[in-house]
Amino acid sequence: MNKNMKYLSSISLRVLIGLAIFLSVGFLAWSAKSIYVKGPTEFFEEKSYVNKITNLPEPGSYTLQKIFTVPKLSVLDTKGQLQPISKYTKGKITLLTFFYDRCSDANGCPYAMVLFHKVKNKLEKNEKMRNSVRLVHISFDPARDTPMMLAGLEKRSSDLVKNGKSIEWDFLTTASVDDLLPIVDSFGQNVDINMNPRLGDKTLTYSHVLKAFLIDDNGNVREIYSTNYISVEMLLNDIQTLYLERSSK
Amino acid sequence: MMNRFKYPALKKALSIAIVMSSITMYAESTYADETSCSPFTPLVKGQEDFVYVWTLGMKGLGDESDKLVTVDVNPNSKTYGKVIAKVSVGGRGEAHHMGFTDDRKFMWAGALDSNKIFIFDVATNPAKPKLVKTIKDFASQSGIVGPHTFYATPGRMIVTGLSNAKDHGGVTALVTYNNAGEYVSTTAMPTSGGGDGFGYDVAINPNKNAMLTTAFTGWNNYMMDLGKLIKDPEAMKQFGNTTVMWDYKSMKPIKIFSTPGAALEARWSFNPGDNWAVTTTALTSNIFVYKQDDKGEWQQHKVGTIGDPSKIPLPVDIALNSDGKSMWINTFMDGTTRLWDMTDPLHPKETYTKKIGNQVNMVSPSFDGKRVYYSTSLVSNWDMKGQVNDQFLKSYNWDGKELKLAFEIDFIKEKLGRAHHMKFQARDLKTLQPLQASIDSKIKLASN
Repeated sequence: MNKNMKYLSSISLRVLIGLAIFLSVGFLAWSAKSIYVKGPTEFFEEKSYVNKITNLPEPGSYTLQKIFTVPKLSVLDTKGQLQPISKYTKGKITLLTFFYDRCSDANGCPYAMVLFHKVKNKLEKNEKMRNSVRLVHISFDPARDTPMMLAGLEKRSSDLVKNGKSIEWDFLTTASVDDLLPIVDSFGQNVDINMNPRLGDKTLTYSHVLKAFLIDDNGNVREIYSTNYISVEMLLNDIQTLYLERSSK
Repeated sequence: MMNRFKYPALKKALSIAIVMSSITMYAESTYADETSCSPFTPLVKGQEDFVYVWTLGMKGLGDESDKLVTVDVNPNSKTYGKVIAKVSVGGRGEAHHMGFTDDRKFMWAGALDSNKIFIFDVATNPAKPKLVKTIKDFASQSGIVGPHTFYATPGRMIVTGLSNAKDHGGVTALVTYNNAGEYVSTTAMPTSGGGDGFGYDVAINPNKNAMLTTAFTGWNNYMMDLGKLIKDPEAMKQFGNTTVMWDYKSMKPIKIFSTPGAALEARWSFNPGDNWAVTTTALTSNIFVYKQDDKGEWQQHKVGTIGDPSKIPLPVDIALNSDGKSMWINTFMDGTTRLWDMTDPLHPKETYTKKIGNQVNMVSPSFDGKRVYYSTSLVSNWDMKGQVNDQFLKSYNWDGKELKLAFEIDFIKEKLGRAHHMKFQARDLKTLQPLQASIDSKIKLASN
């Protein structure tokens, strides 16, 4: 009897462990699909968590403030070449944000990526807007977000539309934290490295509040967005407002 | 915008952000006096470690200078209930209100008479704020005097003015700076379409793209002795009688309301889905609530009367509680705090009163509503005189029925000055979370 009981217990335990592993793998796969799938069309296609900001004014009916001018700084492009940041903040209307590829904060980088893709999809339907606007992502994790790694991300993000109809989308990084410091400082992008509370050492995650910057052709920051003040409609309205402002000159 | 106050943000940021798992985090956006913070500012949702008190210098007391006083308010600390730091700014300029930047790393504090704006670093060492910049050209750059409210928006600070440099009357404006302390723009309060041009406080509802402003009085009045002012019929006419609902994105007025008697603090309920705002009037003792009607048009509702208006109890600071269902209202002249049930904002009821001192101005409940802090000073020439001029910070515990005194600091005995505006800070900024009212409840993404 005891033997049988032990046998049955052993079988039950194995079944439970197997079930737990199966459910865990399934959950992880589901989670990974939700967050990390970077295929051409599935990329952050979640629709339900886009901010609903109502009562926005009509594009062109308002003027965006000139908040500050992007200073002269340098970044690394995806070929590892040092470039003046003005190459990515002048000559077109620019929507810029900071990110790191490992980020999984639902209100941070992935959320911004969703919004940028939605804005991109909308703008690419209009040739004039497509050629007048660029998107820029600058990493604040230079150790891991290397030019080579960002090249892959840039290709995946920009090649979604064939025949050269993709909007310009630049992924930039820096050689070191020292090179990064003046950039995040000048934009006022707060970022913290999370520490392991038990061991006291650095984790691989950063704490930061999402910010995005809308920059006019002349390199002036004209609007700053944060987690609870950003939506696709608002971004498109503001971009169109700057476009109309430029057209009227 | 380079070199923000001459020390790189990230270097500090890279320093330490130890995850304090012992500090409770709430997924839902419910909070208390943090409602007086901008919704763009991360909030202290656990036990506050420090209360900063922006304090007016008093002639013949201590160094006589305006100062930022830091009080340790963590009950587990050895210095609980004690002043642990003070930063004098040099001279008396009528210190008044202050506000955090959108990253809660800097505190902007204003002086209504000198028109100076002091920017303190409150992140590098929150226990010991450091003055890092002083804006001295507020008046000359904007034409406005009396920098009152400091309200963070993404990357910027809206500063409401109380007056103007031309005639020191009540016509004023909103002045915007970037976070580096550089002037951006001036937006005049409306003087047509029913607007009187007066200003005082500002509060923004991002989800509705709506901004509410209130109206007080100009330098001529707020720098006048209160006894003299009350006896001056012409001066008494120079108080704001309007509130304005704005389109925040365009910074254009949507609707101007007649709100007699100087509406002061403006607050939005942040309870998800609420979308109503509230203010109280100093001279007429009324509570007004702002809400959209079925057609989406903003309407003002007079919903209550505070104390006996004929005695002018002078409602001053208000603070909505964590879920927008109750609100503390202080009346200055009788030194009383009053709790109002705001469950139905259009039909609120007073449920509790307690005398805090001979005079009381500001009230700041903690996130969980269990601790309530009070301070005393209104403006130097309106505070009571002689023995009844209480100047203190008092901390109470609130059990839902009764306020019980936890500690008290006599600011005169400590030779500090007149205790005015209070703001909370946490020792570890990782304990702060951004307001995510419209997102949190909808996202189920995993986080590592």
